[in-house]
Amino acid sequence: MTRQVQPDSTASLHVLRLGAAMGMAGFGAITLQYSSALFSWLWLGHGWSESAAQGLERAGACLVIAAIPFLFWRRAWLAPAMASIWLAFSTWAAAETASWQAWLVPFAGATRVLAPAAVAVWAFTGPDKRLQGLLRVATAFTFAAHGVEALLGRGLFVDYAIGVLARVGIAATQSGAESMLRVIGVVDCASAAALLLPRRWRWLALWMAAWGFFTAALRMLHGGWAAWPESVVRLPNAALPFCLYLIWKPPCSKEPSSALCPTPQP
Amino acid sequence: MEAAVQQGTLKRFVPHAAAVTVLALAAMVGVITGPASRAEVSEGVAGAGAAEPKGAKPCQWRVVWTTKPATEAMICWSTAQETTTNKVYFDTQPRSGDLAKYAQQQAATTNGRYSSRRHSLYFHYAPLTGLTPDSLCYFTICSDKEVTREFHFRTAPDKDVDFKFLYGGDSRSDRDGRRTMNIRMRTLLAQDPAILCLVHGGDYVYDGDDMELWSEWMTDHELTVTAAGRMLPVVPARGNHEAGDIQFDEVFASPGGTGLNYFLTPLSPQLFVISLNTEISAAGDQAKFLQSRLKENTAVRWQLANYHRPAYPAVKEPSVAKQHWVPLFDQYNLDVAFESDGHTIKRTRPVRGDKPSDDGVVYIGEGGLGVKQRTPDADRWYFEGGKVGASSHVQKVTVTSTQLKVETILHDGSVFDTWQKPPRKR
Repeated sequence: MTRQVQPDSTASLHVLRLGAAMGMAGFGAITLQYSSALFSWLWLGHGWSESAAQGLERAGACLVIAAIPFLFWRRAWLAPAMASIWLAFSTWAAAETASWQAWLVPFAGATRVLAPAAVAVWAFTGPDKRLQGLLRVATAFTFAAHGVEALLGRGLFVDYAIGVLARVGIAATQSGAESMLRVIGVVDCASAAALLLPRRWRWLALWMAAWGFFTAALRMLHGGWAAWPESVVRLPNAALPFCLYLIWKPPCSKEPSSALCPTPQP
Repeated sequence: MEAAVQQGTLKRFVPHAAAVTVLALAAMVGVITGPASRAEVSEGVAGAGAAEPKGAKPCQWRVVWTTKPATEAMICWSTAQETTTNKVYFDTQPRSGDLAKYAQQQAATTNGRYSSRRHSLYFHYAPLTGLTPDSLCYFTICSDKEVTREFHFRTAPDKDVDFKFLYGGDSRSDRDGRRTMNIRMRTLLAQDPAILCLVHGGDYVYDGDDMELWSEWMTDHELTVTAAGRMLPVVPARGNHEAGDIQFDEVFASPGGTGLNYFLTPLSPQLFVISLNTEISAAGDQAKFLQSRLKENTAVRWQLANYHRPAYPAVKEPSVAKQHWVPLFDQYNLDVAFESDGHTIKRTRPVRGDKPSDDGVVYIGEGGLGVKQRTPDADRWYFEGGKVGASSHVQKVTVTSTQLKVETILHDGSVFDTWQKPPRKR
């Protein structure tokens, strides 16, 4: 008699934790190295003194970095939840100060903001449908926002396309790169929409993880090693769909003795 | 049993207590390692402001220079209401505003309403062509039956002569500071007739989509006009605060093409300023344009660039200019790149190949035409041998055949920094 065995969720939790940790580390590094939109928002938008605005910004960055070890301690869900709230606040400030398509900013940063929140939620729910819903929404928002940016021909994306193609010996024109971005934009938006459908497509989650990883790495391919925080901060874009891919692993329908399907723990 | 309950409560409490303690300590570290507080830049409220737009009266006058400043200029102005007849009367001689006496007239070729849901204001552009190089152009603006007083500006020279110009960026977010700097520029212009124009590095207003802010900017720009009616033509670059906003093109008559905004301005046969746009693709058509213009003009003695987001910033991270434009600057031996955005004062050491090099490019600016100033990161390697500071400022550039001199002048008129260089062997 064969029996169904639910896959072990440890690997997916580790991927989620690691993705959240990378996003938080990247955020902290960027803020401490260069400052963030929050500084501008407080300093220029709300008349704070430079020292007060920078002090609060740095305090928040240190808080987010210090919360990283607590991601790996399931009982300490409050710390990642606080980090997520701070990331949300910073993202909101970034949207307030952005001048190009500001409405896209909160959506584009959804995986980064919600990854630590998902770790906190996991402490209560495990990898159930509610958590999966959170991961789906975060991933879909990020992909859709980047897809729209690509469709709008964001200059920075055009530069990434030209720069990366040049590295592999292809001299792309701007119009060629813009055409490529339109295709990428459609694929990103379609992927985001498909991920929100009730059906679980593991291949889609895997594709989104791979594309998320590539586009995160692109920052470093384009800007060199110095741009590592820009790549690291975007790793949740890959980690969240990869976490879904692992969670959606189908239950084994094999004998418990199979090497591929370990005997469940009592 | 009570002890067991207490133990359970304690067990749940410990992780959060530990987390809160660590996070609080970390936050304190962040606050403590923040910058030492410094006295805020005292800008002082500028004196009487210019009048707000009213009726058909032409106001918010600007002279915009792009590709042919020796012979062409775009006269731009606003009216509070829609007007039917919009003309510029101009001459090489002063006519005291007597319209019948002006030798030439040019009707506005473009009229329209600035893009805004709330703010009702109308723009008008009249392109003046066939101007005499290196001479004064006197003009009066007329919308319907309302006329302005007579203004004048000096056209760029077509011969290798000495001249000066101003450079500055970031005239946003602090109206008093902006007015103070506009009055400073007016004073400089009144004192020194050799000053030709203002090369602006972008970020005119906080939100480039807000026409009310633009209207304030244009009204404040009137303060740069001297008592004698001398105007300061603007060579505008687009900044990140007006990144994709049509209002920039409406205010400056689409310099370099709508949404593109990159162009080369020859301020003399021996000096050009190439204005670039950091808010669109840097690697694509714009890099090709930059390369072709630098290649075509290799023999020009002084070669300068102007763009908003810096390749060698004083506070922020490097922009795309570093990957896509700096190698071209190095290859074609640019002299100075003017950069804004950081809200500080900066002058780097000469840089080539991302390393110190005596024959490299010097990066100057970071924006101080009124915006609040912040503390620069003086420890960055490219500031060793350069200079940084934090105060509202404008750069005065003096151009001769033997020397290019850049003076950083603060809001109170004092000179913060002077740097000069001889011409390269080209």
